[in-house]
Amino acid sequence: MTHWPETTTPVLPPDDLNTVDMTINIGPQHPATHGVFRMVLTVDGELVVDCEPYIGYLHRGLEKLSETADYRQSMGWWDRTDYLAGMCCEMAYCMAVEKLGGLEVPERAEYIRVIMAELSRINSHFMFLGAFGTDVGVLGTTFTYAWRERERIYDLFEEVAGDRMFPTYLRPGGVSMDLPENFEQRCRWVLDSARQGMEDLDGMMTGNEIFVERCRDLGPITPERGIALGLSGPMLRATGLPWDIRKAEPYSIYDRLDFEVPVGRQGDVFDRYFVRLAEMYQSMRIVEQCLDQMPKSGLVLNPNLPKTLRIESGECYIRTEGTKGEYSVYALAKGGNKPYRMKLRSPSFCNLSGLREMVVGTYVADAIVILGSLDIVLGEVDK
Amino acid sequence: MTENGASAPQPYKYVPDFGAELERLRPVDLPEARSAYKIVLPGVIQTGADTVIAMGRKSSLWPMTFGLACCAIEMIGTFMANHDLDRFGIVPWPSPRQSDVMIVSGTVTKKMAPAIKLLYEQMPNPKWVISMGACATNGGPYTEYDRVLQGVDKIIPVDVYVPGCPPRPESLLDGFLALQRKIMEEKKMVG
Amino acid sequence: MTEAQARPLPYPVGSQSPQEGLKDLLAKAVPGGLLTFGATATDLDVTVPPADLLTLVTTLRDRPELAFDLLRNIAGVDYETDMALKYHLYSLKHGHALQVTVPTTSGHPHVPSLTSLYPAANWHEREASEMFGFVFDGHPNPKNLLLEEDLHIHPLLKAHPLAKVEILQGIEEGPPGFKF
Repeated sequence: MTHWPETTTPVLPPDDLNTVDMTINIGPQHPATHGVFRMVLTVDGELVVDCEPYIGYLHRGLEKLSETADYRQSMGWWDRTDYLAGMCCEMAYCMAVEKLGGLEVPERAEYIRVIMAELSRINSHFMFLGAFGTDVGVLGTTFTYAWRERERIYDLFEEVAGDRMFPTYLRPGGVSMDLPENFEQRCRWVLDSARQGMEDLDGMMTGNEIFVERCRDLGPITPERGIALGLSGPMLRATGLPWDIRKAEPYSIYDRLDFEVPVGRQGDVFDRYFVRLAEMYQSMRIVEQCLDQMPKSGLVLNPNLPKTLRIESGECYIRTEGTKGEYSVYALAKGGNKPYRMKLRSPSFCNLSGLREMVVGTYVADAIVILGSLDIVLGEVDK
Repeated sequence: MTENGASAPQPYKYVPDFGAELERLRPVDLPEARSAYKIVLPGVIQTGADTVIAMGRKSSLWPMTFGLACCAIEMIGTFMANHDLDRFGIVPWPSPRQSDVMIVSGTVTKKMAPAIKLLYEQMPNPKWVISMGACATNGGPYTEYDRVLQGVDKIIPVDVYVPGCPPRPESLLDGFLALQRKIMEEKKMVG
Repeated sequence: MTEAQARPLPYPVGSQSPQEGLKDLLAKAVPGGLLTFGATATDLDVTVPPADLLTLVTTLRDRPELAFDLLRNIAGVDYETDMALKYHLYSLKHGHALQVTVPTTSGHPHVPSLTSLYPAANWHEREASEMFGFVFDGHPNPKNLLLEEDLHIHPLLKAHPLAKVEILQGIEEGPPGFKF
């Protein structure tokens, strides 16, 4: 029989045997970083102690190049910023040029723009659902379902404007050409199809208990802290603050439309996912209202546009609700046919700057999920 | 009867007239195919080992999933169900160590270039590179900005250039088919 | 009844045009005529020298009738002879927006950092710093953000040249195009 001496002390590692922190590099080529983003995690065991994001691997000089080209030529660079939703970016850029140049937009063109922007928003959020499902561990299934609907919306864009991703359809002063004849019918068909696809995805993700358990209470953030960090869009709305620029500082024809601003409860990963899902239903409502209210015929491009747009002077800061948050354009004109300075306030850039606060204190596997829930687009982050 | 006169009616002879149908149904002109093998005995194929290896290579190209910029979205679209790349044996793979093809899908900046070179060096031989889109080919719309590399072929060799900004999925598909042809033509090269 | 009426927003609705009432509030909050007022096409504009920036922004953030709680954007501008910084602030409580212009000299002018007031300023200031050469005093991490860390160039300055475009096409013999 073993006799334990009464003076035995518990065996603990002495203080000088503490493990050292380890550094993990993720990116710039990594399937979970959604592009060329790099973050260096310092981990203590499985726990993230520090996170340092590195961006700029796609810095391709949007603002510099915009200064070198005519107001209408720059459009191609602007819709390649948020490359999941090109039309939203085009809309912000065109609104800035119109504000500086004092151009009027025909009413039908406004409706067409809103339809295109909201379809782009649906498209971008489908991409989020697919990619986020992959991050969490549903693997390729959500991606495949989401891409079926994306392809249909791309086909619609192609019928309208001639290209799938970057049609450069909008112009300062309207849109470049009128809609095709059967657009309304086709658009409603695409919406029905997208609604079905969303219900599929909803059942696959929200109906999956593992998914919900994985995302609940992960990386929560309060509204006050969200505002201080400069978050916007679905990231801020997930905290419970219904701040949507389409409502808060209405532009275009959004004040005529009836839609709600979905909010979350505590700003965790699940709320961010669910806010985006609910937002897609609202975008569909907006498109349907636009189809009903739209003038059936009329001009789509301002007929009084000058051959070369010259703006003497002016300065503006146009705010729009992009797909990821506040997509704003600061524009400064000092004569001539080129802008003097264009600055993009990109939502992904500001949302990503808050990544460190959300990630520190979680596990490594959760850090990937939190990064996925930010829904960053690197073209927009790095400009 | 024949002596009596030529006026006697000739017996009816059935001559089928198909018009131009035979011409219509003529098989298409096939160019003389270079057969990769010849049959020596029934069930035995005799061919060069390089051909067999090249056929194996071209039939299971594994591209590295490496999204750089906007073209990555169209690349993903090509992998998805609508433009199914799996039917060509092309399966996306997230690691360079097991990949055969690198699709440079997007703008290559000077900050990213060392990472791309490292990824290329990590891939085992034989390896091929598809430069997808205008940016990877020569800088595209961003070529005037000095932080952007004017074409990925400045740092790594490129086999196939796919034009477009971004290229449609069909274009990338065509790029893969061109790469498969190229592999068959260059079969003598031991990679 | 629309649903927007059924569920009122918890903040006032702003607009994308300059607000006049804000000017009086600002003049009352910062007495002595220290501020120079202007207007852009979308916002009220306030010009303030770099030395007074921190005091002004603290006032803008902390006074309850102003309550600018969101720093949206920091944009640098290079006027070739001098430079300027544009800060875009927004108040969710009152729904008004303001642009603060800080004129500086060209070169490497020193501007106080706003990171102590707004954590959101961190990356915006790093970007403005590398793109234009501003030096933000008190910034916790003044490294390059978008460019490589060993680079000390300022691409958005007007003096920074564009790259020369290589033209490799059109050097084949004879006229270009298909032969029919």
